[in-house]
Amino acid sequence: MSQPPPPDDPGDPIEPADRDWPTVDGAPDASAAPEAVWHDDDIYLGGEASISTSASGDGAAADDDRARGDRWFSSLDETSDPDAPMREMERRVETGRTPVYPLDVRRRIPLEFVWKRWRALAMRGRSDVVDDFGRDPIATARWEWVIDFLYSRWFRVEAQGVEHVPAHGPALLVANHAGSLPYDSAMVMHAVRKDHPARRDVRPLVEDAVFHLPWLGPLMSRIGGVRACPENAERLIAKGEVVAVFPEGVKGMGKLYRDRYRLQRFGRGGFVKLALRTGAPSSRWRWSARRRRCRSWPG
Amino acid sequence: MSPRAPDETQRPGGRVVAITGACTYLGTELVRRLEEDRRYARVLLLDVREPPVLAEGATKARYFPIDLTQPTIDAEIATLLEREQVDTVVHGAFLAHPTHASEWAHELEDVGTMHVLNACAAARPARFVMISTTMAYGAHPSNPNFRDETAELRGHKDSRFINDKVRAEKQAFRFARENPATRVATLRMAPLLGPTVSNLFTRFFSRPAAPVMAGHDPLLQFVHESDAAWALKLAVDTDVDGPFNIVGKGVLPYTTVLALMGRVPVPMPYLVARQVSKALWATQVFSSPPSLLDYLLYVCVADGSRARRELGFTARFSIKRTILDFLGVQPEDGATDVARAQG
Repeated sequence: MSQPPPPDDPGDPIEPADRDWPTVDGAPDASAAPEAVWHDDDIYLGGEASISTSASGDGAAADDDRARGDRWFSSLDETSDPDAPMREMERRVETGRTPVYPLDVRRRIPLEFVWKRWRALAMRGRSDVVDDFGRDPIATARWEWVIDFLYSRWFRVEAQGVEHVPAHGPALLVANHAGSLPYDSAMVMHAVRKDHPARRDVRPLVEDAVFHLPWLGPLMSRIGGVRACPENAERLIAKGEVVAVFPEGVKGMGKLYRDRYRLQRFGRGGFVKLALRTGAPSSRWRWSARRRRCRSWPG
Repeated sequence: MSPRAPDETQRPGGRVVAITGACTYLGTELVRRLEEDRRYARVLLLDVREPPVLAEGATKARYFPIDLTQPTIDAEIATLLEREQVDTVVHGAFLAHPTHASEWAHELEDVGTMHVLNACAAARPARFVMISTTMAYGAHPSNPNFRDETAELRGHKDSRFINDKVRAEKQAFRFARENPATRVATLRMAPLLGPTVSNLFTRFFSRPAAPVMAGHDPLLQFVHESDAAWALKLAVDTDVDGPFNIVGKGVLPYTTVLALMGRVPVPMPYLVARQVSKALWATQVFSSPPSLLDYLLYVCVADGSRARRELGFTARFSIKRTILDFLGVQPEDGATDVARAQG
């Protein structure tokens, strides 16, 4: 009010209005009271409250800060005026702002600002709520365009019979593997999300060998993949999700090109047990290499 | 099966509870809650030092200096339990943080549990509640996303900190089988996080930076400290038996937890991190053994549905709220800790 902040004082990023305490006209505000009263009262301000943040460290800025803090706290002093606290509360409501304790402001602002910026930066592209199996909606949306590109441009997938997937309740999709890299689970997911009228989210069960690969495993987990094991599958079915399994497993990914239409042995039949135990309707999907005849991934 | 109170609640004088490890966070909170509950007449605090909760004007609580690492302490505890007519024993004398004194830790956790159970076998209390941790399931690549109470406690092949707790829990299981008169409950707590508790995880997440195993991002699970204390009080009140996972609401990936906390992730390959951690543990610079790095590699999350069904416990705090509550008193600039110093 009385004096502008010194020019070399860096801006206060959290509370810019800190520089200028507003007053209400007619109220016996602190600025109208004599100076000596504020310096004699015994409200603790904190020794650090008066430390100037200016680089030069001149005493004038520090004194100014101290005087401002004293004036601020003396307005809460009940001995000077019995109505002052109520007026102070009214003033706070009017200005819509809760003042911060000067000690904390002085000490914490620069690093608090950095910390908050860092936190906002680190939380970019990830959600603070994931489902039980780690599916992150923001991360899924972030990788959507890659899967969509693979789906519609690269492999030119034509999905037939998507309508057999039930619109509600649990379901089990059983498919063969086609190709040496596990793209097909993402393609199944995308097909059902894109072409099915209910836009259901498919949860593919991912083999350990792929799920524990560095970077790929966490990525699959974020976009909806689940580690393949009976407990996880039963839990998903019990939640009413659509589960996609690839019973060929890694053998299906490792088969030779000439065996591309030949199914590999089906593990231990875990998907049959799962379907029998949970009673989930299952449907078979077939991936054919002819669908990818235009451009095929090497191998 | 609905929770019902043991017959001792009908005892005219009220129940008598003995708590080992009364200086721990959960012990202190349990004493505070029992002080307010009229069904409980007396609380015996067994610990090596006088619990600070006594200074809060406790009227029912009385302190007994008991050191579980003493070889003949089981007879002393048995005498004490019989003399005071204790009907509920809460065994919470477990370390919240690994220590280099692993022989002493073994004496305290594994052999100490044996002493307490020997005393219970002699004094035959109606109720025995033990505190354990979901870390006892172990972080293994073959873990499903949620472990329920029927899963085997695999621990960790190198970690004495975890394996002592696993052995303690196996002893409690054997004790329950051999002493059907005592209803035994084991509370497997997810990692406790909160503004006042101090353990392995609060120390780990209080640092400005944290290691991340490059390319691995397991899901983490926490339980808020007040939820955990509430669950312990529920377990003391009722007589349900068996193991219970006490977990918070929801899971989050490890890197998201770090991002929410504003900590700097330091990615490093697991093999490098393990060697560095080994060296720092051997030179006693770090107080966390390298084997705990596995919990940053693989998921170790427990399913709390049995506690919801049988114990009536549902976590009130979601994982995000737990983290924010934990952050509320964290020194954000790393220099001052005003709130913790005042509280």
